[in-house]
Amino acid sequence: MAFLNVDGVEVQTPTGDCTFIISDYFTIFNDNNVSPTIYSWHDVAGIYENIGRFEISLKCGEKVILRKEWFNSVEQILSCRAIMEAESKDNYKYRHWLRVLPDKTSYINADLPENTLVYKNKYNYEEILQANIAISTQKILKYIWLYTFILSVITFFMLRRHHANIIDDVWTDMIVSILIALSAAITLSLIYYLVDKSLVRRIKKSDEALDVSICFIISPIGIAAVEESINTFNEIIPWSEVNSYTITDTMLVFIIKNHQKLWLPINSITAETYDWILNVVGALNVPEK
Amino acid sequence: MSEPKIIFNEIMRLGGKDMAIIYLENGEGTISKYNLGNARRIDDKTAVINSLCIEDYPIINITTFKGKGPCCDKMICSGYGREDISREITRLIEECGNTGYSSLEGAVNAVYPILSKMSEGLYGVYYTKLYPTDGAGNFFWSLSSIPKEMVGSADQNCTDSPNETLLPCFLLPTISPVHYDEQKIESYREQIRSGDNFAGIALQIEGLFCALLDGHHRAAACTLEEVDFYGIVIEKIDEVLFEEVEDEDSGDIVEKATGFASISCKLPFELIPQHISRKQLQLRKEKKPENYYKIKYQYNNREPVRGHVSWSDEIIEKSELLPDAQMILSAQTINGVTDDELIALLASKTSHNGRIIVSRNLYESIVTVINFLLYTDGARFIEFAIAVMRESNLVATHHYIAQRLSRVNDEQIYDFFKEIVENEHIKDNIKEIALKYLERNEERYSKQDEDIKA
Repeated sequence: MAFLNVDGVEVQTPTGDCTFIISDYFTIFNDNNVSPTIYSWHDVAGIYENIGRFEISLKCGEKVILRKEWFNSVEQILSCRAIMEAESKDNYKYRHWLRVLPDKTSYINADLPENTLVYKNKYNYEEILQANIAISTQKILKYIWLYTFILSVITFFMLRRHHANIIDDVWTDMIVSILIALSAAITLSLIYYLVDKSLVRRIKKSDEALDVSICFIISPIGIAAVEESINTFNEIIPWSEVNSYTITDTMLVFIIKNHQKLWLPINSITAETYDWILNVVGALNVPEK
Repeated sequence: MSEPKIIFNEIMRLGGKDMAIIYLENGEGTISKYNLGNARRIDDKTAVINSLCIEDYPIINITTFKGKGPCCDKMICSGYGREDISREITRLIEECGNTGYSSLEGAVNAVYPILSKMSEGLYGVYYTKLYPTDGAGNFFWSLSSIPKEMVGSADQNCTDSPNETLLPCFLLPTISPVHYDEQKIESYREQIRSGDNFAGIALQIEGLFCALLDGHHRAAACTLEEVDFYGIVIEKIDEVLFEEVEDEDSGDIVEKATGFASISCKLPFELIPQHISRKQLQLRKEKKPENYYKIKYQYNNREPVRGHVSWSDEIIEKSELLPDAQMILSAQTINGVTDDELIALLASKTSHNGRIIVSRNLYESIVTVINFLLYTDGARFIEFAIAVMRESNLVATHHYIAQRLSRVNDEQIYDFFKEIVENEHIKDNIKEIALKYLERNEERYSKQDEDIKA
């Protein structure tokens, strides 16, 4: 289990009649009672993290809501999230909105070797947006070309069916069909871009980690991007979980478990360090896409 | 970083003894047990090393096999010695050991400098009798740097026991054996003979085992003089106690957290203020220290063998006579056994008047009762053990009981072993034990016989 070093968190309702403790156990003190109700994480059925709250569903049927505004600091929210998400690995499903950092369930507890690169940086929203669009464009470009070609062929034959007896219109129909297909492709790309941008914008709203300092760790045993306030240099995503990586102008993007992304900003590192990272990744045969 | 301070200190009667319950806030964590990850040299991924660390040095290493459950004994070995750590901590421990006290409050004050070096949390401090052995009849200071399975080191005592807490009493050294000083021991022996009492300071680290922080030579002197050795034990109370209770609404039996627990006490939530419970529940049990990588470096680079000492025959023999872990576990797990129950066991029955005597397993029942009697009532032990040895149905227990009998010097046992040696139907391995016993006690009892005849 990873993130066992993260300090436990105590949260109180504004009225002060209920106190919640998120630590090795999930504890609720009701009405200043001396005896708390303590749930082991096995007693949790699932957790859903929304923009403003954590909804904890218990196996006994109860649902406990922890509002993010009740926490004293962003660091407390991040600690709470790390503990609950790490515990979910063996016990329950943790659902959440889009995030900038990979899930805490991907991490394992490990000792970092001496030749480990550690650096701190804050994510730049614009850089993430730019890198995300670059990756998306790369991913959808071939499909857009294919779509344009198919659409132009279909439009051409439809036009030809309409002007079957007029041979002179062949070139006109061809040009018209290509123009229609191209404009459709441009519209589609634009829609895709807008959807993508709004998704990244949602990260800004739903993920507190975007505003805090992040520790980036690259070592021969794995890679990590953890909020500085909860990082203890004992958590890592093993390279076996990394499927591929992509280089953009501002980021190195690692794809983890086929669906999560670990964004590694490269603007604050030296060319030497950048080469070292690529050497490690190359030596470990992580495919570039 | 704020200064360490005690924010709760109250003496309570828990687990049949007076115990000071303390909450230490902002503890430094310089003296603490930490999880160091997977075990080195052991090809088992569920094997985890926990070490009692002082500063950057792992002093005692404990290997736990997680997959084998809480009833599995652990492997314990020595690491660095206390002499490797800084002078400041060594002096602090020695000063605590030299501070006199006449009450439990005084004892808490005496050990406060050590407590402040421990990590934040709830602790129990009490005064108890300690046996300077490793729980298997070996002198405590002879703990090797090669891991060895120690009976009594399991997290839980997994018998059908009515008592759910155990009192730690065996010792593990924190100083390398090369520092064993016979002259120092001799001077302590003289002080004991002139009526002085000695005590040590120990830290409970695993099951029945405590790491002796101060008082190694005093413990050795007490063993040699055959007097009881007492000590202040500091015990971390870091488990949440779940018990089956009746639900107020439905009336069903449900498992509910009722307090905190450690090996020797159960502390209900009602006995401590809510803010203390809240602080304790916020702590993470497996939290690693800031100097984790320094400790890990020392652990990975430690010398496998740290000096060799030839222990005197006297200390080896006298350590063998002290109670062992099986005796203590049996004595602490059953409340008593009646003569009728002993007769039932001799008749190969595990229950009496509809009640299970010890367990459903006959062998386990006899062994537990033998150990219980050996610890609590010598005369009944000899009588029952000889009766079992004469019972041919209980032959499976004979070798173990012969070994147990050989620990006690008594004329009745001497005569019984003489009988065994002459009996042709007795197995060779039992005869061997009897012959050794006769040889060892020949001078003592044959001389007595001659005196009687004369």
